[in-house]
Amino acid sequence: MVTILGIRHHGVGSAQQVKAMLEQLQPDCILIEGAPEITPLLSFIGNENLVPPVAIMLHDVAMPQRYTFYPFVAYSPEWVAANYAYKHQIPISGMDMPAIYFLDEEKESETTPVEQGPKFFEDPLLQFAKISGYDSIDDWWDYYFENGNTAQTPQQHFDAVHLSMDIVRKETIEERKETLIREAFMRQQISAAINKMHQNIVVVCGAYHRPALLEIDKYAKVDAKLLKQLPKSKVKIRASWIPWTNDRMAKFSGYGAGISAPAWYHHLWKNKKEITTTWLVRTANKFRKKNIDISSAHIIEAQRLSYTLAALRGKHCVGLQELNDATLSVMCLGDAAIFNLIKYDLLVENKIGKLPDDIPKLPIQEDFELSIKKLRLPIADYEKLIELDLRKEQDLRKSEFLHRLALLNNPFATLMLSKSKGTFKESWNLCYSPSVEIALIDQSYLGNTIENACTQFIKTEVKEASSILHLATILHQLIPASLFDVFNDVLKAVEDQATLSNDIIDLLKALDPMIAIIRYGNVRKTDTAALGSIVANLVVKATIGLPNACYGLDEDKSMEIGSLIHTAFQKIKLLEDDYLSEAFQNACLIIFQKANYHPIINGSVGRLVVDNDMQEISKIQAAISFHLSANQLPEDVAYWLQGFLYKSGSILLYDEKLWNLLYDWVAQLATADFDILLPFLRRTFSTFEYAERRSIGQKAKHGLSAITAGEMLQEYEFDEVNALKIIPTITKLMGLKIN
Amino acid sequence: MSVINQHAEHLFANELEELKKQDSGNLPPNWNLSPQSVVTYLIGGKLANGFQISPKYIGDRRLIEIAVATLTTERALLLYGLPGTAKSWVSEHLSAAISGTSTLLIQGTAGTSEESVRYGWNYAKLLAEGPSESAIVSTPIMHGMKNGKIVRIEELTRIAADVQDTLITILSEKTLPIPELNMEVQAIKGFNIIATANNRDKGVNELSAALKRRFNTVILPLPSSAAEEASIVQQRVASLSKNLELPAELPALIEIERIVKIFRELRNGVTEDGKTKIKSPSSSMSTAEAIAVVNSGMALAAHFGNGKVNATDIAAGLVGAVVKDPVQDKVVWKEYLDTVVKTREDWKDIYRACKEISL
Repeated sequence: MVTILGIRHHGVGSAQQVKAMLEQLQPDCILIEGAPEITPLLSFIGNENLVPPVAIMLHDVAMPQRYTFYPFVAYSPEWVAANYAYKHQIPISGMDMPAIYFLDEEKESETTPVEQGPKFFEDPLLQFAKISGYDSIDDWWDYYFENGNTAQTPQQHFDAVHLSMDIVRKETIEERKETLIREAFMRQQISAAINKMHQNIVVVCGAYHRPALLEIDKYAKVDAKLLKQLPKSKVKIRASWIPWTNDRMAKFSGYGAGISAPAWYHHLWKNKKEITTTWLVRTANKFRKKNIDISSAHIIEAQRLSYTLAALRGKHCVGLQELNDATLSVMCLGDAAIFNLIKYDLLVENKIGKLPDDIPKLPIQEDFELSIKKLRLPIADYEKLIELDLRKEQDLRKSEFLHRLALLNNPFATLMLSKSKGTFKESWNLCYSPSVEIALIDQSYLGNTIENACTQFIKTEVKEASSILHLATILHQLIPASLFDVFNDVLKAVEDQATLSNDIIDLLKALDPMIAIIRYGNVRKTDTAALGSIVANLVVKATIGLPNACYGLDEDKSMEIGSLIHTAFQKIKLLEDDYLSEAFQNACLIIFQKANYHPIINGSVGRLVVDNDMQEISKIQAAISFHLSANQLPEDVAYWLQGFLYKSGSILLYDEKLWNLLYDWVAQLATADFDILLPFLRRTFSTFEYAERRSIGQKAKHGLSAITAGEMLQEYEFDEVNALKIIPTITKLMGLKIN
Repeated sequence: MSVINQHAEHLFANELEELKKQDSGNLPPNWNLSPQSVVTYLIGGKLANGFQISPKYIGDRRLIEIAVATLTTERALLLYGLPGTAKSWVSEHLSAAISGTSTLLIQGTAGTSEESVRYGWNYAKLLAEGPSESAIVSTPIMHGMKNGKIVRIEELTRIAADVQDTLITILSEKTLPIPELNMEVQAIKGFNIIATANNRDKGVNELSAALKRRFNTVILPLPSSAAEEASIVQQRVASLSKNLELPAELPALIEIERIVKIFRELRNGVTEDGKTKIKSPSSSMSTAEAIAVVNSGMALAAHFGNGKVNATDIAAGLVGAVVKDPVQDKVVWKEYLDTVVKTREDWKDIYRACKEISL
């Protein structure tokens, strides 16, 4: 005897009725809708350490990114059936189309149907729902078949489900080809079970398929022919249990058979009586946690309103819709914004499944779990912020592990900006989701532990890297992940790349992360000697190439290289290597002195020269007045100023000579030229601070300045003796040594 | 005979009559119609015998269901929302459908006194005869309690807080004590209160927590789509012009859609295509005001124009509706005209018309 029970996946009512029906029928074999590959894993259901929501994941061993899931919650009829099978020690297996066919992407395109029936017949269930006055199939089905506490006997329930499905299937003109193939597989599996001499077979499958599974014999020949046409598949499938989350069960997560309110269904499943009262009490508690006062009277009134609403809508029991409406009106004063505060927590609720330790997993998954346990990292399906103090041994280990995951682009951990200052604190945002497992499985081919996978990952990255910046960034990531095995490999690659490359911009950019490693490497107790010599080489190379690299650039590029030179100069100073600093200064001076660069670069480098007293004052002033002289093209002067005054105009306030030069230059401009230049100048000046601009404006009111910087000091009666007294304290404060 | 605004129960007397005839649902005590029929009366629909009920409220059916269900639980109903979102309209129709009368009305103002909520005294009689039942001046609430009818309170939040709180006993105990006579009026079944209040006046006299708890609140939202809003405006204009006997032709739907679009864009602060940001004026730009603009346009067209509503007729009302603050709103309106209206090819007429009205 074969009994087919039509259900909705994750339907509470279906699950209850399946449970009752199984007790009644006492079957000796159960088949459920799912690829046969999941069969071996079904035997774990019943193990008390396997706590739903969990899912079986099937993936292609060769290409882990091809995968599919079979999620289970406590109220999944399949879960209930598997529990029954476990308790009574009877076989249970999947009977759907094998995953080897549908996980094969190339072949999948052949099986997807192109021809579809007319629109009206596309979703016959929706027609059903509409006739009964519902907007969606889910609401309709929920109300009639899944409301948990129905008075119907299991037999009556399934009769009703089956009758409606028979009608629906009769109305459907043409099935999708995929459905036809799947059903052919199902029929074959059922007859296989019969051939195995099972007397009392129960099939638990989506209600929609039931009508097609009734007359197996009639289809036998057609099925054999149909399935013979399927192309051979050589895909190897691996099945594994993974923890699942309520969030992923919910419809909005994109899961096809998703449900709108997992927490509500769970509530229905857990509570047989007083469903509305307990639900509203739960709702009230969620509000109270958010500091919104809800009294018992609110609950009573909400309950009354929900009952009246159900009566008004002609329903025999209160559904989620009524409860939500009542909550909104009574507890939230009609304001949806208040309801939204708790909506996610109320209807979905964070929940994550658990797996027993002895379930077979991929080595990398095991390594992940072991590390999590060893490091005592929290695992939850909502975002959890942790603070690490890198001076502590355990925290340093945690940080290393998380940095490794980040390196692999695993979504489990995200590095946040630490709130406190200093380099020994780190904040991480941890959040577990099934995609964490997917990412792990996806990268399992890289190695059996996270560390090995990282190493392998870096090696391939390094091979593909085409810029020094990219390599330097990788290098920068290695330190916190303490992956020193590959450190030298990457360094070697940097060296090779630097020899080959002529891209000075790339070089300059790469200096930043590399010097940062030297500076901060010791926080992690890293040996940076080898790195130091490579950086020195890079600087020398950059110094030599810089003057040539600045030729023939347009405005934007000039601006970019200008600010790059500025940062590179600052960074090189941090190395405290006089030889390198001097070499770089010389490169800057070469650019400063030559006139045939883009004026922006000239101006920008000029500023560096002035700010750092790279040259004698007289030479600098000569060069500046050269650039501001009346015979220069007005646009060039404007560009020069743009580079020179980039983001800071305070130099105009204290350097009177420069001020006078500029003032003269503006004064001699022809009106027409001035009109053209105004936007350029405005662009430059608009980057200054407001206070700076105001001071400049006030200064401009007074016109030419008659005094030089030196004279100005005298005017303020500068007292050298007094000033010298401060010096020792300042040097002490700054840790400088001055003779 | 010809009043300007007929009460709902007269205007839609035949619909109510027909609903009553067809009603098969359970009647709560002292209700004229079953809750289901009340919902049908507001939302509209076809009766079993094919009789068409016109929709009174265009919007979410759920909200009306909550409102009606609330009234059957004997909890009071508070309709909340921006000015012009049909709160009073819904309250009038609900009471007309449930109690057959929408006239038990207390208008909330800053000057509404306790006497107009509970009861007052006929002082001549009071002095002549001393306190007696016949010296009491009844209020709509007292009347509603005695007869089991729905009472409406408009603009609840405008009423002073101490006067508001006199409602607490009435709502929770359903009784109105008259200590002077050592007696009380106990409400009979069917009595309930529908209050309206608007968000904009929130700060005026916020309801006390105790009073709030006695109400189920339904927030009436602004129409969710332009099409919905256009159909509300069109329907209301049609019925009003019948009332006012305006000889002008009803403006085409296109014209109404244009006005609704202007209103929605200014209200939402962004053009309908979501591409341009605009400033919002201080006025609430509600649907009710859109209706008024169309109406005044029709009146202008009828009496001073050629009987056909054109851009010039609309412009005057439009500018008046938008510019409530002569300084700020003027800027907003001018910006909107020049950045949005001007750029639209087929809106040239309305642009010119609005420009002509110098502010």
